[in-house]
Amino acid sequence: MNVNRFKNSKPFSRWDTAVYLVVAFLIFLLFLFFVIIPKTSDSESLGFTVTSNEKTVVSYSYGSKNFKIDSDFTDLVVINEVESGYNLTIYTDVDKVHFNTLFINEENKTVKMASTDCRSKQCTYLHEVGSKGIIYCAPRSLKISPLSGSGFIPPVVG
Amino acid sequence: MKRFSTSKFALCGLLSALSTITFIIEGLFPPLFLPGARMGISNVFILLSILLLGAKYGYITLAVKVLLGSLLSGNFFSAVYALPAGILSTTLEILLINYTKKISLVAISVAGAILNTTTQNLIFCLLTNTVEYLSYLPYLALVGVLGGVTVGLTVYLVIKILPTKYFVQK
Repeated sequence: MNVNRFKNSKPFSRWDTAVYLVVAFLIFLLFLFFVIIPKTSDSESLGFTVTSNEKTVVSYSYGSKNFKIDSDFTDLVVINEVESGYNLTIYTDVDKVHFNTLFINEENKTVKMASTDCRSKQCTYLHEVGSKGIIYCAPRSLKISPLSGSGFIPPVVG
Repeated sequence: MKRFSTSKFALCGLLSALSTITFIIEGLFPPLFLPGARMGISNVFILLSILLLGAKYGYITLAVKVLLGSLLSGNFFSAVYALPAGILSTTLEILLINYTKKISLVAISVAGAILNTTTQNLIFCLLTNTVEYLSYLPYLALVGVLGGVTVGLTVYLVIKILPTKYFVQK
């Protein structure tokens, strides 16, 4: 049985070096292709757009105070002005039970997922979107992307 | 010839339940360093299932963990990318266990963990059309190393401490 082989062995062996060398090389390649090489645009942050299943829900240009909301979502988007920006709440059902709330920071020209009612709340841990980056809410298929700029953005680690 | 033995099935059920519970509990905590990153402690029971019972029971434990765990945690979408990634990593671990006699359990676990995390990220990016998240790949691979070492050492200690009489006989 395989289990007896491991029961009588040590937790590490010399042959593990081959595995770890392959792993280290793979990680190096990943850093090279997805962090070091990609040229990220340094364009100014103009605004953001929120899409749901490829359909634009709302778009906003920083400083304009004018939110362009799609006619199908007029009743589902609520905007509240707060200090240094806006809270934009998007309801994903007619009864207004399920929601995602974005915080729009006018001073920094960024947008971040502030809160949501789903259990995992993974999107609230994602980096804020400025001139680059993206926030994606998988359960609701909501995507927040910048109006200008592109490229990969390293994640906020920690 | 029996294809499934009752005692093995019972142990498989226990390991599947433990894996599912651990998966759900892990999901209640904030992500580890990165969004979507977990330590993967639930994989301890999948690896144990492979070692104690065999390949097909390992796949059963994986399927129960991913499908039931995703359903009970309220995020069934995660099963779409977690299941194929889990199948790939479990297959890699089974191949390494059966065809390499010199590599330790920790290294096998690390290889499986990295394949799991990177595949999940790739599938997620393809499904949601968010290629920007590919920049998470190298960091997820590093988290995979950490998780793999933890899982591998845990399984090694369990195998080491557990008396042979508790292993299900073939």
